[in-house]
Amino acid sequence: MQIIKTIAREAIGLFVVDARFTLTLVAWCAIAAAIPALLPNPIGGALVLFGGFAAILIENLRHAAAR
Amino acid sequence: MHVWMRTIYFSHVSPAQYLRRNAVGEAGMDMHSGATLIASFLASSVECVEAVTIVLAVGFVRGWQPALVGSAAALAVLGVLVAVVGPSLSLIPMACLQIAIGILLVLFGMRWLQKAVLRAAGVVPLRDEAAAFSHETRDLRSRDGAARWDMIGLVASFKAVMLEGVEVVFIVAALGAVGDALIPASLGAVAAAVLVGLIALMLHRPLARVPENHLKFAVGVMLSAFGTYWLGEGYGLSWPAGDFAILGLTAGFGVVALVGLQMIRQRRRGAATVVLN
Repeated sequence: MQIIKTIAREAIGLFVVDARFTLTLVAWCAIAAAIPALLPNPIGGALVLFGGFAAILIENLRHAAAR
Repeated sequence: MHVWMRTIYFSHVSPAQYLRRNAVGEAGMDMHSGATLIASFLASSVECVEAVTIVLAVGFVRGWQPALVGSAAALAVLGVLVAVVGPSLSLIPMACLQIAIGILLVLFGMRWLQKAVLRAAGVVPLRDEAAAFSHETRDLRSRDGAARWDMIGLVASFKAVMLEGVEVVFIVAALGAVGDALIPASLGAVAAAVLVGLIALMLHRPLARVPENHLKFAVGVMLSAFGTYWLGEGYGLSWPAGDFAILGLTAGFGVVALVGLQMIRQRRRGAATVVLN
């Protein structure tokens, strides 16, 4: 039973370590669903999707380094 | 033939569609398969190194029988997991699968990338396989084990292979299921397991000199790129240059992570200067 609990905890830990970081990424994934409708230009849409993730990563690193 | 059948099985396309698509985008498919194989190999190598450290510790302290039986049992459970998860993925509509896998890959990849950058910058200590090995051997020695079946060694070995193996299964399933690339993803993982296992057998000590953080950095960049690509595909975004956009995304995440690393180093240098003054 303890092994199953440990494996379940580890499985969640694959995706979630820093709750703030994970929530921000999930929120951006949800918002990004609107990109193709708002930005029909493929290059613009791709840049916005990537730019969002890049901004989240930089902001998280800045925050983690300041702690 | 086998590859062809598996590809069609996982990608919901008819044989005619498959052949047409291959004829049109063969270069893109090859690039995709190659990138998938490399990502799967690197990610699986990291996980295999971590599992092998524990299995070696169990082998040296509690004997090779519980170490190998525990590992084999975990591999059997993982095999069942693959057999259950693999076919069930084909039941999910492709767009939903792309979105779900995209989100999971982004979460997984960005977590590795964040940790690798923080470790490279010195904010978080680097993982030390030699220290992990010493800690595990100390812990295993301190436990009593007079029974015929050494359950402590068996469970420790099972847990290590199972926990790291679940990550490998996720990586292979995520990279392979949505991109017609289950074969290269599986080959990458198997190659990593065989290579790490053989090196550990030859050295008879933990693989402490593997540049694990560099590997994690590279894998984090690649998985984030794959995740972003599949998420965009699932949302109906048409990527410029098709499959080759993955290379652009990989370069983009690499640059962003390096910029983040430089930013943290400068901050820490600045803070150290203030303290010294």
